[in-house]
Amino acid sequence: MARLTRMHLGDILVVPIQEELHDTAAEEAAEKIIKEADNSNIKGVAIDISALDIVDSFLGRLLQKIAWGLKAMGKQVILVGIQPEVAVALVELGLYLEEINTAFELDSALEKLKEMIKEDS
Amino acid sequence: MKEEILRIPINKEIDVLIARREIKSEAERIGFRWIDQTRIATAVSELTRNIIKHAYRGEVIVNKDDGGIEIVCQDEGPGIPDVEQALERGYSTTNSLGIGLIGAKHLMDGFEIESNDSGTKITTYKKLK
Amino acid sequence: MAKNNDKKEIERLRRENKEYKKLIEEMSEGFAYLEEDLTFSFANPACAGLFDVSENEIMGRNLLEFLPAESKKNVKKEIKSKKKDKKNIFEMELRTEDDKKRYLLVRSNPHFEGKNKFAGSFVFFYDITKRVRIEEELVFEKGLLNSLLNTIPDHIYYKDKKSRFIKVSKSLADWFNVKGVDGLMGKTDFDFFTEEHARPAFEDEQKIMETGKPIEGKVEKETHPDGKVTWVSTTKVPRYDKNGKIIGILGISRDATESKLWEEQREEKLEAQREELLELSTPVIDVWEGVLTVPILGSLDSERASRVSEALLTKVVEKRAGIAIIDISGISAVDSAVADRLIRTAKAVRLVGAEAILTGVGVEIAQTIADLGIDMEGLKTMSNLKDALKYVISRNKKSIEKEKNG
Repeated sequence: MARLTRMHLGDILVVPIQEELHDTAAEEAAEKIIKEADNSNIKGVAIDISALDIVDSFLGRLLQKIAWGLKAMGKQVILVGIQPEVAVALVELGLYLEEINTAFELDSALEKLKEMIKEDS
Repeated sequence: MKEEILRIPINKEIDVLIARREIKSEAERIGFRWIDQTRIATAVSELTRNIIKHAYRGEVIVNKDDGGIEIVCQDEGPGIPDVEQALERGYSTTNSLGIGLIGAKHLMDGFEIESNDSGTKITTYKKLK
Repeated sequence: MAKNNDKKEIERLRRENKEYKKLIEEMSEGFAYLEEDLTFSFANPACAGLFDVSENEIMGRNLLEFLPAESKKNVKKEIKSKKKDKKNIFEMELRTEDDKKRYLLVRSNPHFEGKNKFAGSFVFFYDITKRVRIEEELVFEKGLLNSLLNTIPDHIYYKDKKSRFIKVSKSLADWFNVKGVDGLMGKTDFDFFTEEHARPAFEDEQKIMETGKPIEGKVEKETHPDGKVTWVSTTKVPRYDKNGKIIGILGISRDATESKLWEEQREEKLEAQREELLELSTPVIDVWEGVLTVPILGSLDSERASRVSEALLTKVVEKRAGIAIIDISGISAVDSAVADRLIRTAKAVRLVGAEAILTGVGVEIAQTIADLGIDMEGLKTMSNLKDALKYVISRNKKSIEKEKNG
């Protein structure tokens, strides 16, 4: 599987998903994200999917699982850059991802995340 | 007048990505709006994933006619034991097969399944508006 | 002894003579002897009947009297001519008392004095009026048919049981660039059109011949090998022989290309109007900084819901709007399908990163939504636009304050 880019911005982990991932690769990526976030320095995770234009039920539910996992570990989660096409597909598949916060782009995502971390603490 | 425009074998996971990408491009070429291109691509993703996960190999055939696009996914797998049930269950099911089918059904305009122990054939249709 | 034989012989001859006479008297064919100048010196009753006179009256009359002026010369020639096999057979027209035409077949057996001097002739006359009339009618009908086929602009075609052309209108022959109304004989639609038209046309015709049921006014698309497309309105009926058995079809195809084109243009125009209407009816309005609103008026079927989602989501992302207000106070009917679509649109807005507020939510709608059991998490509902804007303003205030304090 290709390398998963990630960045640390202070206490926030940013994970941009830049290419289409087939199922096995996606699951491996999910594991990597959880592992990486399992670190007391990380308080929030921003998953950037602005590069994706097709998201199906598998990836949708995987994102849900990642969010639940991270929240269970006490981290704040935000999904960044859901494109209109992706939003439509998810919604029509019934995957509303209500528990996950969303933002247009990284700037606003980081701001929101910071706020969420503050409120939580 | 129906004409076949694509035929993609589905044998490995990556074929799911290839199929949905190619079919999305084809939908764009035919003139579907972006919202329908996405629905088509997502439906293809759902159905071809089912082929990989449950039948191991199969193919997608894309046909075009004056009214829209027809996407046929067929395999020689063990078949779906209870199609009615698979379609009826809501999203709460953990059965990915059912979710894939329901999702595809919802995203497309026409949906037909033929399934027995020598294989499954799913025919879906999206109207060009 | 000899005298007895002679007597018997004479008897026999007399009897024979009588019989011959009887034969001649009773036969239905006309039999006569014409002198050298073509006068009748003998005529049997049938012959006299053919000439519409009595046996007595015909004696001494000239054959040529009974003929129209223009044919006298020819008949004279025919009767008198010396032919190799001595058979002079020809047809002749009589003019009778009541001016009705009668046609006779004449068989003349002339004999000659010396080398070529005509001396007289035994002549048989056969009444062929009926046959001639039938022939004339046929020629007339054929003339009618040909004039029809040669002048009518519609494409007319007669085909046999194998759908091969037998005869066609000139217009069709010209169109196919073939000479004459018989030029297409033996060919089929497959020789002139591509499979796309030829196949269904052939099948139609076979069905007509099988069931006897005609096809009327069917609009057909004719596809040509050079890519050209023409439209026609076609009527095909079965053809029967005199025993009532089906032996082929007769078809007329009237050009409808122009009206088809007109129809297509009209469809296109209507489609464009429909599009415009759909576009106009889902305006996404910039109501405030970072606040968009889309009023939904009338019905919300799945096509419209798609348009609303498209327009709203694109604009929300484009303008980085923080809030999208979906106003449904103008919606005509809210059933569970409509409510479902509304909620999905609102949830898509949230996914994209904005906040969705549904306004105009009355009691009924609220109930329908509740009945659906959809989780309204992340969506706000308000009764009207005013309340929504108040909310927006108060939120702005809060964030401004936060910035001050933060």
